[in-house]
Amino acid sequence: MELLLSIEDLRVYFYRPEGVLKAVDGLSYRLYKGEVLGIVGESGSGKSVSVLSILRLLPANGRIVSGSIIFDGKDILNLSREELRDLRGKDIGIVFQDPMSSLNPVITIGQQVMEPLLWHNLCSRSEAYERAKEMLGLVGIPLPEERMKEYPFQFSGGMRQRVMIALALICRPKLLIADEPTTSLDVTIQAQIIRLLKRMKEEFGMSVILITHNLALTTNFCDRLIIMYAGNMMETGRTKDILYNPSHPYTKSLLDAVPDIEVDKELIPIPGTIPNLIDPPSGCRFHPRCPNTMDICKEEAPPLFDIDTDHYSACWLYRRA
Amino acid sequence: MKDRILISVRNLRKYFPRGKALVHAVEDVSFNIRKGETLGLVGESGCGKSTVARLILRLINPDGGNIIFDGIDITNISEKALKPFRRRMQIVFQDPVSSLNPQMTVGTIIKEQFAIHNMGSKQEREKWVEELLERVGIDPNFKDAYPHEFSGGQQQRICIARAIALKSEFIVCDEPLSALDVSVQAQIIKLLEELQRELGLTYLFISHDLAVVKHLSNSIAVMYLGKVVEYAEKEELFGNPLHPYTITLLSSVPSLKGKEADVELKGEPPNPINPPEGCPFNPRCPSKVDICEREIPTLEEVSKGHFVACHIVSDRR
Repeated sequence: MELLLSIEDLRVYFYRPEGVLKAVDGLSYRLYKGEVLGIVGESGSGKSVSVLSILRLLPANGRIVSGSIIFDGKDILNLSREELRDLRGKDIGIVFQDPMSSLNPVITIGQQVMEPLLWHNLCSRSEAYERAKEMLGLVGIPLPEERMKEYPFQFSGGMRQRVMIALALICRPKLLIADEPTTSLDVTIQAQIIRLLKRMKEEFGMSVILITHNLALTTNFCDRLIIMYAGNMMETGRTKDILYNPSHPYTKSLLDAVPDIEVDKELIPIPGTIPNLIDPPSGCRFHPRCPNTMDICKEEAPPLFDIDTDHYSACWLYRRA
Repeated sequence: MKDRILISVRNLRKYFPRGKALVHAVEDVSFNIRKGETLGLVGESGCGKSTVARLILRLINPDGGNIIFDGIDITNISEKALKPFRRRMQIVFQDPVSSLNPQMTVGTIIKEQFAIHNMGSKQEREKWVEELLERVGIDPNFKDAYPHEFSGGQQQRICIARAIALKSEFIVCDEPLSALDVSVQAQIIKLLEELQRELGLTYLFISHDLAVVKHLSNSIAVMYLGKVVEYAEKEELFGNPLHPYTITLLSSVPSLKGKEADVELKGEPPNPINPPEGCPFNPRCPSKVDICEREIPTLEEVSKGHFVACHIVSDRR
């Protein structure tokens, strides 16, 4: 498989009045062409920050302090502003959680979907119109030509998210980032959007990064998963291996703590709360909440250990003697 | 007394004016909640589930129907007559931050209730606060701290402490987990379960998360566009869903088991200002027939304790 994205030892820190918040602290992963990667984590795990870094879209107080991001042969961290603009929206499309605040309320839907094509000078205005119309139809907007004249407020939440997907895909990007794309939507609409993303993936063959806090959402869509906690990768592997054969205590605890509609089980809560990343726990960041804590966990952050083919876990339990 | 009904809701109706139009928020909703049990109220946003909760608590007044609390009709009684009932019912909201006064210490927030209902001496109130905090898993030494000093999960625990302070029997939990992190949600679920067991609490549990509702409820009512479309014991509803909406709703929920939904629900809920003729679900229903566009189906008992509002299901019998 051909490599599309490679991130090495990424560290993203936020400079706050209270101190330095280590949002992503030493993250490395690869994404291949045509692959769907799920990044799963709770709030503050660094899942969104890690992908916003790919687009260099961090807020003003956030800085990439070290590491490298190579996308399609380009060193993202050394691109000029112009080169970055070329990348955004054209090679990499992104869909955010809240479609209302991602769309401009005073510009028609048609204009907004055409904009990336025109901005990147990819085609004429009339062709952009045709392509926008076709794309809106493809993402399931009925009567696209009529609705192109309307404004975001005239669309429901689910329809707006479809528009966002059309917008993100209009330039045929190599990578689609979907950052919690269904979190603000109802469950039947969520199912529609995930189906749509799958269909678009089949249609265009791009790579996808799906960011979510909901493990169950990844089962039928993602090839591979990264489980993040407090700015670190805890475990990574093929989706089936992670869900049915989890190795990291955090992944296991998370699976035990979440009710599932198909399974009746006793819930086992994870004690404590997510740590403050200005002063994160020493060693493994999960150790204060972990059921298997050993002495070394408090002292040293674990590297990734081999579990199985393509399955790694950042946990001292898997250190070979 | 397991089968005693604590809350009975009969043909509840509420319309909200919007401009010249009326939003049909709640339309003919009926169900019972047995003492010590949990009724899960599910449905998508805008289906009227939170309005139902506010009506039961008489935070807003209904336009029709009856609310019977422990055998007494409280639908139209005066605010004064309602006060003793207010003491017996409480609510825990979705967002703990906005339901705790940021300028009061958590101790004062909880104590306020005893003052309102003239209960106990100063020392007693102080003691109760400590016991309550302890009970919900908050160190009582923090009773003089302010809400912002706690995490989201702890704030929700404080809201729960407040809700049980007056030994209320009935608690509405309106999406109490939605603002919390996944790893913290299970802690709150556990706490709610323990309190129910120990104190014999009755819950109306409102959520859009069907997996959570399934975990916590004894019976479940499914709402769509202001109406209850199906209502049954939990096992029956999940094992044998009959209404086409319930069927698609359940199959839309992602599962770690990885089952793929066999039916995709097309379209979106219609506008409650101008609900469709006939069955509210007919524009999206995969199995609709002529009558569905003309007549509103009534909620019928199709087998013992299993109620469905669907022409097709009724005809099949």
